[in-house]
Amino acid sequence: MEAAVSGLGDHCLQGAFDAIDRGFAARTTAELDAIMGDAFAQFGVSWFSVDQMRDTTGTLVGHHHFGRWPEDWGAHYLRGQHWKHDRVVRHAVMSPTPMHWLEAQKRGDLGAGEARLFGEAREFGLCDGYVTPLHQLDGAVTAISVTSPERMELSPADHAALRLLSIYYCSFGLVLKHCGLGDGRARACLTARQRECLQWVRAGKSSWAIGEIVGISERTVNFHIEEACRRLNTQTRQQAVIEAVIRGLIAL
Amino acid sequence: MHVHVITAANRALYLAEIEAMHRHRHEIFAKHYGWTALISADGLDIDEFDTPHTTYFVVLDDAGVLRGCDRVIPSWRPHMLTHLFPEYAQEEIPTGPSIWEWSRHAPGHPAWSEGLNREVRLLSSIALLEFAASRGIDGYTGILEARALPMAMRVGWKPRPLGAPVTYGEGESVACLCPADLSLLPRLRRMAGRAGPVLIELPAQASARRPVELAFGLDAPMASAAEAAIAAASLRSAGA
Repeated sequence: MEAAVSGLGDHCLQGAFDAIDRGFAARTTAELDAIMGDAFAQFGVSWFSVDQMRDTTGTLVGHHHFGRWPEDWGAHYLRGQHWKHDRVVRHAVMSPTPMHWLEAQKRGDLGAGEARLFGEAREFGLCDGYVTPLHQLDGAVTAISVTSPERMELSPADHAALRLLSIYYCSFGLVLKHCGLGDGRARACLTARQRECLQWVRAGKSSWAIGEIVGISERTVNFHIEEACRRLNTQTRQQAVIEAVIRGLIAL
Repeated sequence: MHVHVITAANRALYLAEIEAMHRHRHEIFAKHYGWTALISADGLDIDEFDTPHTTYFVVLDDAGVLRGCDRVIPSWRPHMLTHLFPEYAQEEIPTGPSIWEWSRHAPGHPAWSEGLNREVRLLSSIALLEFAASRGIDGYTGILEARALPMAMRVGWKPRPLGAPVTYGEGESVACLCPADLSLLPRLRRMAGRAGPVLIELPAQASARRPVELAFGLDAPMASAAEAAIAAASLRSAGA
């Protein structure tokens, strides 16, 4: 197939806005990946990944945060410590500006190892890509890479929409990860006391009754339940019970 | 630690804090962020949007030392997004009585402890929400740095993009509308260990004493925060 998706213009930006609106409601990285994956697909993007490329000491690292990424390529990349001769990483840590892989390959300063890595990536189905680096004030560099199995023909409006999606995808994911909802370690997202209170809600007890049973004030019970609702992203305590059961946080 | 609102009405009470704020902003934006356009010989960051009508939030610790600041401008007055950087927005820029613009967000300092900076960041967000409640503000527009988005979202802000990201020297920025979600207040106050409001708005005529004097219960006005701190130290040593 000749060249991939292109030239959707302002529709792209609108599509990115809509996806970001939906992204705010994502409660897990799986939900987030589904929402943003659809939006990225508009640009022919099938893989997207957020990686730390440099730590605060200035050392190059290849730490994969999250994303949808071919596992075999990830393993290959890690095994070979390929971030040490990756033109995309070299760009991302040097410059905070986004870069299209295609441009990097055209530049005269491409090393032999770097050229080889682009070739290997192609064999794994990563033919073209776009990287958006985020330089933190403490010296760390995080970057969002989106890649396509075909050449990406991007208009300036597409570039803009892709960067916007990348930036928000990274932010959403980092927030979910921080809240402990991202990686399946869901138990850690509720305290023992919150789980205990929810367990009694499940048994049909009122806040007052729970307070009597557990030996804390009704007010404190409400506080724990309210906080559990917030962490589980539910409106009511009944929904929180259901959500906690689904996640295996409390017994059915 | 409290956050004081400085308005056209009460700014005469805060002359020393206003200078400390411009100095802090220069320290953060020109030196630390490396926004070279803001470097100025006098060590003060002041631009055309700093007018007698501009509203500021200054975070003052219990010794009256400035620990952070924010700037807000009502959208019916000239503000950055509409008057300086309209290219940041492809959507219509929200304006009107319930929309203000938020800029020069400078909570804390890299040389201070993370615990202190975290508290200042929280207080600054709480102050923006409390101010929104007092003025009937539905949302703040602003230009956010991409790298600052995760931090803002972690606090609970939901910045909606108004346009494509713009690449500048140090990275990417996005024009956003941050809805003022007052339901965040209880949680943020809990996180900051506060039972009630953190925002103090002194009326212009109510007291000749400024926050530094109020902090120490001093009756006589002091010329500067530093003087107040010295006075407090001498009070302490006199007591001991």
